[in-house]
Amino acid sequence: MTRNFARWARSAAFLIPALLFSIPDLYAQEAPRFDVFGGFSYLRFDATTIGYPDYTNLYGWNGGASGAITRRFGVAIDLSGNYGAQMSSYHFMIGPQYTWRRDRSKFFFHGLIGKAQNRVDIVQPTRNGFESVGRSFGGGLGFDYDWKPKISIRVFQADYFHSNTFGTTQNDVRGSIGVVYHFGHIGHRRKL
Amino acid sequence: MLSKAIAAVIPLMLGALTACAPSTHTVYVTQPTNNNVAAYRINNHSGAFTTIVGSPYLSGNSPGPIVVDPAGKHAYVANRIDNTISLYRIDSLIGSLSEVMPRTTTASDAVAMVMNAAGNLLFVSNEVSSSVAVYSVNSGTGALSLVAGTPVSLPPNPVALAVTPSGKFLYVVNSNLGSVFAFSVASSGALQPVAGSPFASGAGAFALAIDPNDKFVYVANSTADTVSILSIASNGALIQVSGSPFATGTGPVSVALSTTGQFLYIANQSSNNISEYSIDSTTGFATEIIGSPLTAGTAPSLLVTDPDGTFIYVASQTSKTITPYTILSGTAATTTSGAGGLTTTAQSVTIDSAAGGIAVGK
Repeated sequence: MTRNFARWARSAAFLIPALLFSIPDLYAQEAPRFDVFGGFSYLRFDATTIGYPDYTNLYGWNGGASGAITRRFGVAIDLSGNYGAQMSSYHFMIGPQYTWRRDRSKFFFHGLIGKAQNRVDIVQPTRNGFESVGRSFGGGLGFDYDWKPKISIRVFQADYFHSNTFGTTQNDVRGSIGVVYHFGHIGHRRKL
Repeated sequence: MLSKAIAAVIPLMLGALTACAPSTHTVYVTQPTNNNVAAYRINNHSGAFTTIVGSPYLSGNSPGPIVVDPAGKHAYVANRIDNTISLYRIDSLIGSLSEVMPRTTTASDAVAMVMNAAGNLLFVSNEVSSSVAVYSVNSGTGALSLVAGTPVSLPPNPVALAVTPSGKFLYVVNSNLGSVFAFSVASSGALQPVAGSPFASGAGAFALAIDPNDKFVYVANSTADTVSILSIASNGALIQVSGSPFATGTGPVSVALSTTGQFLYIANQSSNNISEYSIDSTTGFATEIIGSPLTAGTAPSLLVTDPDGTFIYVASQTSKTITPYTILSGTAATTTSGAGGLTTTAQSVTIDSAAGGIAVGK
């Protein structure tokens, strides 16, 4: 079932931007030049590939920043650290981001590429754990709602990661919530 | 509108993420040439192997027999050249191994080990020093302590041993004599020879197994190419059942039973196949199953039954593989075998060196 969800996430990562691109730019408006995000995240880690009996749940933080090149296109940096039963997982990602705004709402989609660093804490006579760093790519989407002029609430962010660590491939899903702070601005309100 | 969409998506996501855990168990394989222990997680349905993170784990010199305690908390590996036993703590979540130092010293060349069903006694057969030692097991730490009065000396070449599920009797196969030595086991682990011991088996007696009901002992006679079936008397004495010994393939070296004791499997190392038998639970008479013997790679040398009774694992010395075979259930005959027959359903896993021992965990 979880593997089905991973497949769903992969499909969504490609279908949703196509949908967003097809929406006419009727509501373009002034947009922040930079966003900084920080919050809580949950990672459903594909631990079956390294010998766990099932996927494992990891909890932690998610931080990031995005810069707008145009009102809709920008670049996102995404960092996260998640921790759980004898293991931790970090993602260091960057990629293009597409944003669609309407009134106080913002939807975004991004593709990400970078590194995953996973560690399993198994105490051995000669070492305290096993760590592996490998390439990772994926994508996700999210929704922000403006709370104050400079602050938004990230109602949800969902990402899928395809990572290669420990000589195997993991398909992970991450969900995040948090707060977004805005700097600067780009563009202007367009009359309807 | 938006809130409705979110309300619809979130339950779907949560439902997907909280699906039931798949049914799995672990298998541990000692690799004498590489001085380590490989660990795998097995999917109970497909039989597929996944290497557990960190595997293989270091052991002593030339690890051979391996035993996992009934609780699945500890594993014991006999290092045949070091003359030691390594104790490993098994991680309850991952199934990984962490060795607990120091190692326990044994007599020379621990060639076989077995633990009683209660998990409080470990029996070790020392081939070169020709003895059997008994260790009591600390229920918390898994640490071993030699039981007073052991090791017990035996004639040269005690190569295999097995303890009855009740824990009352210990049987040790002597290859040179082609016989089985029987001992009654005290609650302390002290051994007392059974009257009439040793009991004749067959030339080149090499491996044995005991049925789950304490009724029969099965001995593979590697030179005679037979399996001896001996019934267990109330005092532990052994008596050949009618028709015993039964013919096997060439070079029978390992014996395994289904968890019910209804089916018997013999690895024939020289004829590269597995003999499969149905056992009469009253008389012990063995009837070869349709499709037996089953071709099984090259030089099958070790057979182990998984606790769920779903698979038999076969280690091949020449191809350095472990292959899971599914035990067919029901009564209807299939294209190759009837109930109790074996069939391959999953790919073999290749190991780094010929297996010295296999044990199944939780």
